[in-house]
Amino acid sequence: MFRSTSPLTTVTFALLLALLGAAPQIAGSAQEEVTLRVWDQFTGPESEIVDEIYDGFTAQNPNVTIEREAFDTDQMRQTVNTALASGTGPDVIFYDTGPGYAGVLADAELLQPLDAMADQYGWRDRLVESAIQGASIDGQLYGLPLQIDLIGLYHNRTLMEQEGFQVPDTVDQLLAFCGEASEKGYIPLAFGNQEGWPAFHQFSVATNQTLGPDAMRRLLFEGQGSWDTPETTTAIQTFFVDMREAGCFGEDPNALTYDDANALFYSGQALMTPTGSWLIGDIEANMPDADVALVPFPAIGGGKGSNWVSGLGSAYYLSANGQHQTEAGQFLDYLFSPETATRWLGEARFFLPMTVDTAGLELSPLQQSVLDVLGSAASGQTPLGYNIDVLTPPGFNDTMLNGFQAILAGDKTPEQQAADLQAAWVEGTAATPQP
Amino acid sequence: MATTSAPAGAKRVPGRAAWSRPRGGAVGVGVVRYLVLIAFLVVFLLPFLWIWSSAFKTSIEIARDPFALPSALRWENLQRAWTVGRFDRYIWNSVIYCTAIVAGVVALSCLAGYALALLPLPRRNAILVLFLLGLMVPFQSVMIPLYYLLRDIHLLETYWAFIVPGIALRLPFGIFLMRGFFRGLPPELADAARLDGANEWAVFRQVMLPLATPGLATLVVFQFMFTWNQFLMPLVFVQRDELRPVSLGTMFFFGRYTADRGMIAAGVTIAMLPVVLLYLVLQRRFIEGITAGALKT
Amino acid sequence: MADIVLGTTARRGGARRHWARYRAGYLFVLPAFLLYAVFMIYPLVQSIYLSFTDWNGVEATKNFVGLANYRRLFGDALLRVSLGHTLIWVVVGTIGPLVIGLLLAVLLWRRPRGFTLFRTAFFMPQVLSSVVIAIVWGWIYNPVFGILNRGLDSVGLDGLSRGWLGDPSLALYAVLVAAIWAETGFVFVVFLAGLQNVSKDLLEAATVDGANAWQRFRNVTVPQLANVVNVVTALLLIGGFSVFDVVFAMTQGGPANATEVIATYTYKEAFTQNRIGYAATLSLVITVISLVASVAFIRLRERGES
Repeated sequence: MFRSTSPLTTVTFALLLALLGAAPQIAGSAQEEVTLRVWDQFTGPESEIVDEIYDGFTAQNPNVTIEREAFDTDQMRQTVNTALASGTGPDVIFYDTGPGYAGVLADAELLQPLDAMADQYGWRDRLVESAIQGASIDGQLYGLPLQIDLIGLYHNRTLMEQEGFQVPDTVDQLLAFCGEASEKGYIPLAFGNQEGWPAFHQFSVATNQTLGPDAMRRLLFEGQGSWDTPETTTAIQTFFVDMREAGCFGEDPNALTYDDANALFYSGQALMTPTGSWLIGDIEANMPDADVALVPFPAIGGGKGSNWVSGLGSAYYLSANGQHQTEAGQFLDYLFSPETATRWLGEARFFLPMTVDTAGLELSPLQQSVLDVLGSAASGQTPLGYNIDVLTPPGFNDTMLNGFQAILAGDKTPEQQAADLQAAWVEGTAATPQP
Repeated sequence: MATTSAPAGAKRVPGRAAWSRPRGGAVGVGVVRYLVLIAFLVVFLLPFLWIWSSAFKTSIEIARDPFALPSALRWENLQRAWTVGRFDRYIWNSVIYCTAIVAGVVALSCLAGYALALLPLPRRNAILVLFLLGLMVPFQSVMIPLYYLLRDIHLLETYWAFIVPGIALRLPFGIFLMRGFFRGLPPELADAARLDGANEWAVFRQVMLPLATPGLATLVVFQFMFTWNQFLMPLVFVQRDELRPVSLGTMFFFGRYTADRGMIAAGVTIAMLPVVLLYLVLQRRFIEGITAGALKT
Repeated sequence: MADIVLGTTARRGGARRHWARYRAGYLFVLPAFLLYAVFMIYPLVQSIYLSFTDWNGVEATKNFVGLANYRRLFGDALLRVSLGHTLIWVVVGTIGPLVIGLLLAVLLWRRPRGFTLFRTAFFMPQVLSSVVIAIVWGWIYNPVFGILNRGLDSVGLDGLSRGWLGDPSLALYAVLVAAIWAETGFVFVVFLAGLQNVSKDLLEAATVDGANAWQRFRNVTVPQLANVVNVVTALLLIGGFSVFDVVFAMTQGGPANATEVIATYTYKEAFTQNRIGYAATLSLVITVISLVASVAFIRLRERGES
């Protein structure tokens, strides 16, 4: 007669179980051995330094193992939600600050508020006020920002001097430079926007030149003014239309990735690249023989001069679902300890939003130039403009992402984009997250 | 449905067909035919050759002249992709997933397909319609609730997160395929075995299943290829790098090393190699399996 | 073998006879049915339920919002754009492999010299995962070192070289080319198998009657392939409506939404924006389209067979 258990299925499930025996051990005795899963975005040459810095923590805390995974920015943005919500994702993530990024995660209750830990460890005294604010959402602190950056224009001084080019002070000079540099066979300005987010920075830069930092602050923080103004339109027109038409970018920016654009600059095929001070480590690792300088983007005619733009980089956050919050807190404290801060600056070439002891550090001229500007800004002498994508709501960032690609492709006018940005701003700020 | 009987290559046909071709312009036609075939050969093979040769190059070499051969056989790209790039782990995971899912789909589909084809069953049509539904709706139909279901039963951090739905969602295909094969078998054989006193399990296992081996082979090939290359399901359900199959791991590897082109080419080569080699060795099985799988469900 | 059971009452006897008769069938189907019910049918029902809520994936209670998500579909410009791209994808992505696959199968029909080499090569892309296809073709299109632009430059067609994936009017077709490259091998081998069954007597007869090559192909070969063409078309269509992998891995829907298809849009709404309720509604749009396409196809085939 028929027997109810079929040997075939029994064999199958025995096989499955045997295979799963090979799975990594996840559960363990909780108090003793702790594994912290850390996700970050360090995929460049700094990656090895980050490994070493993390190792410093596990050396001090032998019961903790750190499982690190590095992501490309775009891929992290696409997978972080499902990972955190799964309850099995990272314990610690290094993610972009602002309502459009970490704000979305905090709204979905995926991030752990850090107020209690901040009091316990004294983080509020260690980090500068603006950084604490930038990583707070509705008055609650969620993250510790690792980087404060300047966005400007890098140029390869070695090649520029060799070819007899002057660094442009105004956009008109820049447009003329683009023509001459292309004639000599160079890509004047390597700009890759396949991912869409590099345009956020350039829009921030251009708008800060036309509106000026003061008006930007009123618009972003005080709700005064709007985005559909001639200043915004001129800013968009300058970077995304005039510069493209003058041949500044060489290749089609929409087809070029951010990394490919940087590579063109490293290899000397491009003379300039418009990006931020977070790239200094990569530049110095890739171009050991070249003399590279970072300057503010040239002034746009009729605007408010040539301003540095500054923005908060990514911050370390804790998952609300993390199993080891105590150890994760200790890890954050270690990352922002004075000793580690010196390593971040000296080895990874990152600019921390806190006082860093530079005694005994040999800083490169490029690093020193950024520190000088940041120092002068802190003492109120240099006004800094704002990098906006870490301050604006997600819908606004979507409009930037698709709109600027469309303008670069010639499918949208700056006026339309300015109007769409204003609409997204109104919609996004009306729907500000309620606690 | 009516099916074509002989899959490609099932019969050895002599180089020239027995029936004659018209003579007029045969030479010209032949030349054009080969020109077209060779053009497509280049289109289909060139990307492979380019990536494989790039795996031995440095990033600078790749940018300088994409068509040049590598200046030296640098194995370190492949070595680094395998270890630092974690392809050792990804490939091993894919082997685990494929073994488990193929075994599960085959076992459960054979049982159910056999019963739906040859055993007395009440409401057979209702059951068939229910499975047919699964054949017609895409993964997206269930993707979102399935994610939360797997989370709530705590499968998301294990291999099961991909294995269980990987089996469940492929059952409709497997069942219809196997049912088709079993229906093509003479039921008298089963009846004869029953008269000899065999129980239903013995009839299935010892008489009917061996006769369905071609169907089984088809299902194994189809399911293996499908699982090895599956992307969206592990993307949503597998959150830890140590658990990622190679299809997904390749994407994150690409993100980590975008600037290191030699490394990328090496990683892509490693990701391709197991299944390409398997295909080259078992070519006829692959093609027959895919053809039969397409035409018999 | 049916047991002879002596039931004490008629009803229990009926139940036991029922069990005895169907026991094997039940037990054979049960494992598959349970797994399928829990991990396919139940989530499918849940999708419908979620589409009536504004759930964000977190809150314990799921607010019932009635038809609000469905009303939103009609005003959703991005949905319209995605549907348009999906339609282009389905049409081009079906016709492309069909035409090229049929051409290659006919060229190799009589197994000319080199048959195995050609068949091996034409089918080879079919074994690759979509991520690999996306990376390889992303490289081919790369403006800096890609072989497409370099190739065009080297044969003097540098006017044609451009950033293929960066141009919103070309990007979708550029991704489609990669997909067709990968999919054609499958269509090709199925047609090759189908051609084995085309009656050579009929072709001979047509030749004797004076039909030229095109007429023989059009009037004798194609009708006999109709069934194979149907199957392949259906598979390509149904796969096309829910296409996700290669698009996501290659362009993520960009630039400027130029390659956004409904599946990538759904993924983003669900898993990067946390709009679970609306994403469930979008997933049902894909479901309904796929179901309609499948049912229409089955009907069509039944009519063709009768």
